[in-house]
Amino acid sequence: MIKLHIKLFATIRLDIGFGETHIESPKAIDIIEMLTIVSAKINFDLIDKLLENGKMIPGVIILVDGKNIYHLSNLETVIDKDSTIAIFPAAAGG
Amino acid sequence: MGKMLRVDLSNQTIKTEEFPRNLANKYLGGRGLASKILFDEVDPTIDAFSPENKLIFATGPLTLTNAPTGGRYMVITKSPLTGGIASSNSGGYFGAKFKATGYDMIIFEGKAEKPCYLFINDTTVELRDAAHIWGKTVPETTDILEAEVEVKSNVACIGPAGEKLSRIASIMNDRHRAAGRSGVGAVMGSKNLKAVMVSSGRLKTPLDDPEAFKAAVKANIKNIRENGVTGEGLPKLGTKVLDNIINELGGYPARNFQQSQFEGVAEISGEALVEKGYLTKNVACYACPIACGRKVTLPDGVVGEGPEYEVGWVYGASCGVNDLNAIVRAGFMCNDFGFDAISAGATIATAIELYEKGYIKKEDLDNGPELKYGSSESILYYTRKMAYREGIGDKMAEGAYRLAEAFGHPEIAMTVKKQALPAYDPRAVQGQGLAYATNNRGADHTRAYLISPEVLGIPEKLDPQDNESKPVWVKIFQELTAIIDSAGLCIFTSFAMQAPDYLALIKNATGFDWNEEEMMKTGERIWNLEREFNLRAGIDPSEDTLPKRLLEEPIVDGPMKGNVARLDTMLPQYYKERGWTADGRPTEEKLKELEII
Repeated sequence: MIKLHIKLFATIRLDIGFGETHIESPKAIDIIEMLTIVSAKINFDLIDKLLENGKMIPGVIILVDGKNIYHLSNLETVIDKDSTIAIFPAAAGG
Repeated sequence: MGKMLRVDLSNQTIKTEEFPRNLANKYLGGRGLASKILFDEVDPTIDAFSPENKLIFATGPLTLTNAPTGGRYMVITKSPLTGGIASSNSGGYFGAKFKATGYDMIIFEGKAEKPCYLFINDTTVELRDAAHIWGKTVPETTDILEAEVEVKSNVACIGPAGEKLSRIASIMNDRHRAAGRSGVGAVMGSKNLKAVMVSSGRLKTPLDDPEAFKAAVKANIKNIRENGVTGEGLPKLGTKVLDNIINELGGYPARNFQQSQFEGVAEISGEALVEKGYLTKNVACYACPIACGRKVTLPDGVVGEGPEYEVGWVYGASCGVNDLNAIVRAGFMCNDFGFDAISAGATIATAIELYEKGYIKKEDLDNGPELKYGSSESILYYTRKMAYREGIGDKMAEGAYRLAEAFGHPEIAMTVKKQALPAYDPRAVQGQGLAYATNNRGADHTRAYLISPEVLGIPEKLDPQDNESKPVWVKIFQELTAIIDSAGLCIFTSFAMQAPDYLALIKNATGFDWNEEEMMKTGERIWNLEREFNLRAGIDPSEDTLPKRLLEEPIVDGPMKGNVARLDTMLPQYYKERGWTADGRPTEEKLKELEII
């Protein structure tokens, strides 16, 4: 069983009222599958929030153990071990 | 418009001059044109505090238009902090309201015998006695001056930090907006100039093609509103939305860059500012559809603006403090005293490391609280001491580098060209490190915000650890930012706008027959002119570097563990991209090509 610690930030955290959850999967899953499971658990459509026409909206950040999925295999990145996932909607600079 | 003021403070005379249109086609306005005037009129080798230095307030051709964020102005002078060119940008309403009185620029020369301030309205420009406001804080000064006139006015002024020639003093306008970096407030203080007040301006910026301009404005506002960053992230959470992002990535410097993640971030982040109920309202600058400013009310009723990301980080993670209430107060104090908050907080973070390592002794503190990471009391106490140069605050007012040098350990100062680093660890974001090292005004993130491609993926995603792609990106960002600053806009527009969008606004406002290449060439000209000023001022290219800690000591933990900043591979390529010599000097050929000489 793969255990994932999901950290949710920015407007997602403000909209749902909390910033962390945990999910488990009996098999390796990709990013879309992970978002689908988390969305069901938190009752908030992360795919609608983060993606447009099947691609990540500019500014959206998803980190798997601190690594941006852009530099892994993007939405096809496979999560096959216990990991921490950080999810940010489009944000900005300081 | 089309006029500028030349104010001789020594002789208390004011002249109106024609705006140098022949230069505007080459330097645009704002930062570019004022830098050209400084370059032509000021000997770069002078002491920044001498009367021979000049202090220039400059608007751009888009200031006082309804272009998104079209209210910015710049302050240009020789920096007492870096010894090179200082050019600080600010928002709020002052810049636009100044331009509405009919002037594009003010050049202050000389030094007043006694404190004074400049009053400008649509019929009058005069120097007035400032004895009654000397010594006052920024909000006190603003309140007093605003009460002296019957119509709505806008004030730019210095606080105690500028009066006492702190090399990290800012010029504040509209109470909460700062022309913050490089010590411009100290130059204003050295001239005994307390404030500039503008009132009753009714003029509008002339436009070459009003209909085409209107269409470009409409299209760009739509882009900004529909963009996730400028339409949602910044309005809802302000720039502090970045705390968690940069921390999770492993590039959020803690305890004066000794760590790259902060365990207390959840308590001090942008989300926490909302969840704790401190955020009461968003605040927008002139013509800004983004509104990233934060009006904040603390539980005891104290009201102010901020903190934005940098201030929250520097008084938080960099000082090891996880008390959001104290961090917010420290930010308010910086605004009230007229400090560049990044430099002020970084100086305290440096002092703490010096103390914890035994280089600053307990007796140096004059019975003040111990300088410890995590001490809320310390950050507030020593910010005040620094503002009034009391006790060890006298050395702190010189900034982090000179403080560390005074105690025999300059290597502890996290600075470039003596200016403190902002809130991104160059070991985690390599391009941002190159941008810090090569910045004409010392370490700073707003002259080339590489976080945009390296972290946010805008306009495209770059690997933060890749070195090969960064030199050319840094060059492009430096030049486009020079255009945005010179036009009179905010760089936050660049999350949603591209070079052709800026070109459309500039062309239709000015009538310049530019294409995109010519616009970018103007940015390159401005960058090289600033560089040439610095070289003539004696800033050697060997100062294009980063603190030894970041070059030699790997990140100790987190996702970026083991990385150091790889300037050794990026810097030679950067010089090559710029067409400079291998040791970082613009060639004669390059300067002639850009018509600088």
